[in-house]
Amino acid sequence: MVGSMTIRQTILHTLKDVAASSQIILVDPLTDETVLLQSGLDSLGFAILVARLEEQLGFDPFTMTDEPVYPRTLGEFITFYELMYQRL
Amino acid sequence: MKTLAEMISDPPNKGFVCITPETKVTRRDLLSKASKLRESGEAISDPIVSGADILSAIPRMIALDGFASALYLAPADLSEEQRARLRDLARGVTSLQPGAKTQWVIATSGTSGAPKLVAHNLQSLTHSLKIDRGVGTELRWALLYDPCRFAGLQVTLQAAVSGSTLLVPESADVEYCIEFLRCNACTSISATPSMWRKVLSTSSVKELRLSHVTLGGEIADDRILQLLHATFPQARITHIYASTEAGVGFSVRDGRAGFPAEYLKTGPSGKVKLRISTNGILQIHDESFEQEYVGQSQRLIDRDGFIDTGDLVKLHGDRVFFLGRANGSINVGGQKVMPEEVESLIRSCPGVEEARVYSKPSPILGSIVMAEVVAGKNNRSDEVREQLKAMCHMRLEPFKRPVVIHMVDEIKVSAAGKIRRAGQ
Repeated sequence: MVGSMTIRQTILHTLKDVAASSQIILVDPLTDETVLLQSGLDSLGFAILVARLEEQLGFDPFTMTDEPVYPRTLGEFITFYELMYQRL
Repeated sequence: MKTLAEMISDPPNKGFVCITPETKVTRRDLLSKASKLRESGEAISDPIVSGADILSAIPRMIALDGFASALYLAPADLSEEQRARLRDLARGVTSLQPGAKTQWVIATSGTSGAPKLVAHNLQSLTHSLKIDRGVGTELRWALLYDPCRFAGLQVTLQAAVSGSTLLVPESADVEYCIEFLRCNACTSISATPSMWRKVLSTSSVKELRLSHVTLGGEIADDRILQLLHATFPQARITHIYASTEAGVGFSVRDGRAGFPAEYLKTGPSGKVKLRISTNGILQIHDESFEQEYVGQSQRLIDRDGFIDTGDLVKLHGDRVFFLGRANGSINVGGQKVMPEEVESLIRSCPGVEEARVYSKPSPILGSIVMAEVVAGKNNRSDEVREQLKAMCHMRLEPFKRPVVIHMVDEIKVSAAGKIRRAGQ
């Protein structure tokens, strides 16, 4: 939780913010089934998203596992963050 | 070639004196302390010069040069591993053989990459110093660095062999240092651009009456040169190109960043020649180069007599500009970003006092660009950050833009006065 926002809300909010500041148009509608690589955000956009989320949430889940994790969809991405948050 | 003791003993150098907040030590005291170190055998048995105390360091340098086969300079912040290495090497020190020169072994600052040891001698360290005794005795040099780092050693030797006063504030507090220098009528300061930016933000800087302003160790951009000129209009502003490996290569005094492209054809001065390698790195040649790496098979000087400086440069019109350290680039998904380029842009934004750009590991791209910024006095951090975001967006390619800009109160520099490049 960040303030009154859940992990999900924080991710969605930050994702839209990164897209806006990078002048990227995200697919509409954005759902849990949206494939990340087809969302409109490129790999630089995702790197920015992960770094900004670390600033806001205080953790980077990708550094918390020994196994490489590659979420494919937005839903998997959010679940991964929620799962790692519980391990903190 | 004279020894350091002989150079300092020259009658015109009687003005050499060392002033700290605690005490004032004359040339005679320093020479006499050096004689005792030689006579007692302590010089040979402990040829490590500690940078932590200037009043012990200078007599030990004097005692060892021309007397021992080598002396080892140990800056106060040297790692325990490096210190142990010096102790091992020091066991092999003997009396100097006739006709040989004392090796002065210096550690590189290791701003990017692991520190290396480079063996110089007094000649390679002093041949480019300007020794003008008429003026030298009137100069009062500030020692803002460890005397056992290359930059600090240059200032120490400059003062010693020109009969100048050496002012040693012995403090990391820049505000205190400048107040000490003002009270002691300092005329000359040599510092890195990062250190100068700190000096310029102190409250007593405008009361300094400097005749010599020297920059070195990092890229001097137009902005810092202009700021220094505006603050010290009477001073001669010199940008020195030097490194622990190459020694002092050349200096530029025309007030502009970089150096004239003409230097690539004619050489900057005397025997020094410059060239740019095929991968864009500045290489430097000097007939008098004798320095070498210690305990490493890597050659310091190539077959043509050139030293690879590790500095990336770019020829643009009639000027050659420094881009940054070749091994200091940030690799963002295969695209290279020179942190110095981004820092320079950030510093040009109104309301910014200092900036540091560094790399942060990224699970997606390998690394990403991050920035720390100090807002100037009377500027709101959040406003400066918004301006910076807009500026970076307009002026930098997306992969070069800092992903996060942290507004901080201070950016620390290393003991060599340089911005640390490693990530947090």
